Amino acid sequence: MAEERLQPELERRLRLLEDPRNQGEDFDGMAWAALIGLGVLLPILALLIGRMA
Amino acid sequence: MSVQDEILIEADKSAWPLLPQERVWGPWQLGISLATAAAATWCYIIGEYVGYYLSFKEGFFALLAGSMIGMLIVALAAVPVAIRFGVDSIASSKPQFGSRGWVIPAAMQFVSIVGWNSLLLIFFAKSTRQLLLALGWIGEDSHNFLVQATVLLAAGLVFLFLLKGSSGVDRIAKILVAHVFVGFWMLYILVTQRWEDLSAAVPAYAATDAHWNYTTGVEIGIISLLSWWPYIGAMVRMAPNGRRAAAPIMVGMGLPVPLLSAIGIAGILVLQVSDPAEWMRTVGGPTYGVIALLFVAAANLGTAVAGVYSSSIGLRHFPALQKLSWPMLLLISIAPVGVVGLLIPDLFFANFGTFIAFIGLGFAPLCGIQIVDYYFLRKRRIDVRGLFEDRPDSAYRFWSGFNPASLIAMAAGFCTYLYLLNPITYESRWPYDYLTAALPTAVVGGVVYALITLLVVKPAGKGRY
Repeated sequence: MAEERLQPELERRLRLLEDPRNQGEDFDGMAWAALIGLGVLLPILALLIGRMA
Repeated sequence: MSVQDEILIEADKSAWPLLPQERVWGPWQLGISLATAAAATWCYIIGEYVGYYLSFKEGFFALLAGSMIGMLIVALAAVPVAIRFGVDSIASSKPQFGSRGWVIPAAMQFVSIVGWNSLLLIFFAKSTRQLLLALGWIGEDSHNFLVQATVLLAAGLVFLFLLKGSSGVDRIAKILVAHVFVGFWMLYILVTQRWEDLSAAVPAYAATDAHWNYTTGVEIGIISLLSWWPYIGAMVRMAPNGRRAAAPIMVGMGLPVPLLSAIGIAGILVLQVSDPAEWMRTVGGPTYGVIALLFVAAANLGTAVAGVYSSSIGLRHFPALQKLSWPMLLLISIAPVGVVGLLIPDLFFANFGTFIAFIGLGFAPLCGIQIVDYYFLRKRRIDVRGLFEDRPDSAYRFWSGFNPASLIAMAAGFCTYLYLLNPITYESRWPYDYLTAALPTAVVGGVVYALITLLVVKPAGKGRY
């Protein structure tokens, strides 16, 4: 990033995004359920099945 | 075209954060785009490497476990910032690496995507040659010309697809996602016609220690999916929130790799070749060979399009490239692929195992650092202006734009990985057999980063903690 002023359109976007209402929401409960189910529980299950194969 | 439309198109080709009204991809659209990006012929090569050490069932489940773990790590590292502010993976790394130190992840992104795209397009070229040879349309002496010409042709197609920005990614994803199902059909053919051979097949390079073989299958899965770090930000920023993105990421980008890699495992175990364009011809004749080649072409082009888009967006962070025309930027992203395809296709292709291990060596500590910083040190507080500003008082200026915590943590991660697993020879040290190399590397990177941040960076009032 240069130390010069930001481009006007980028500046406009940053002003808008500094308002939390214009930000996307982080992972919520449903998202965490999907992440843990598919990223933790499924691998544990797969590891166990694979070892028994 | 309205001014608003022009700004939207411009934003799509820049690293600017996207506004809510511009982030319109639903779960299906995101999932399909991610699946198209993930499902490529690298899956066969990944499967081939796993098939060197493990039987079909063991290999599949080890790869499934490793892939989903790797996907989770990437999702936790880069996605939260990308999804909240509509930014790409490089911008998501600025709170940790600094307003100038982000060049390190940017360089890693560029090298990794160039590497993967080179691999894909060389694979496509080799498959094309195999098929044309089988059909008798070319002779053995046409090898050099054909492989190189095909790589250049494919690179040209990727360039054309992307001239209109991410709409090119979306458009091609909708068409090429069909190749995922063709891939499963190919696996079905091999499994049903050669099940007995498959069950009895012995992995060619299996070590005497079965535990090491299994861990290596998991490791290959993890490091393969860590490769998605460079891709994921530019794609998930098109979705409006984390709820809509989580399942499509895990299912769309995580699952296709182990599922399609099963084709490579089966191919290498039964026919000693992972390229379906070659073994489909052996199993079903030239017609099947043509179908497989079409699949290879579709799969690789879809992924190369997503990769070149992501790396072009990443390049936009460099001040010198911010005002460069979009076609020129695409050219910078694609040209190295053409060079590798022209000059060293065989050398590059033969060293896939080393390439992927270096991916783990680089991206495992990066992900560990990001996860620790976002969830534990910053407690999810990010200054969006700091992602784009580089002034003496900017949020992520640290020391002259660099954060020593991330630099030292990356170095600690490299050393950890090198201690646990030699990326060239795959010789390993305890506790690799139990923990893999990528997971401890991510943990060490994160812990070292946290310690230096708490002991040095935070007390110095740097980094806006």
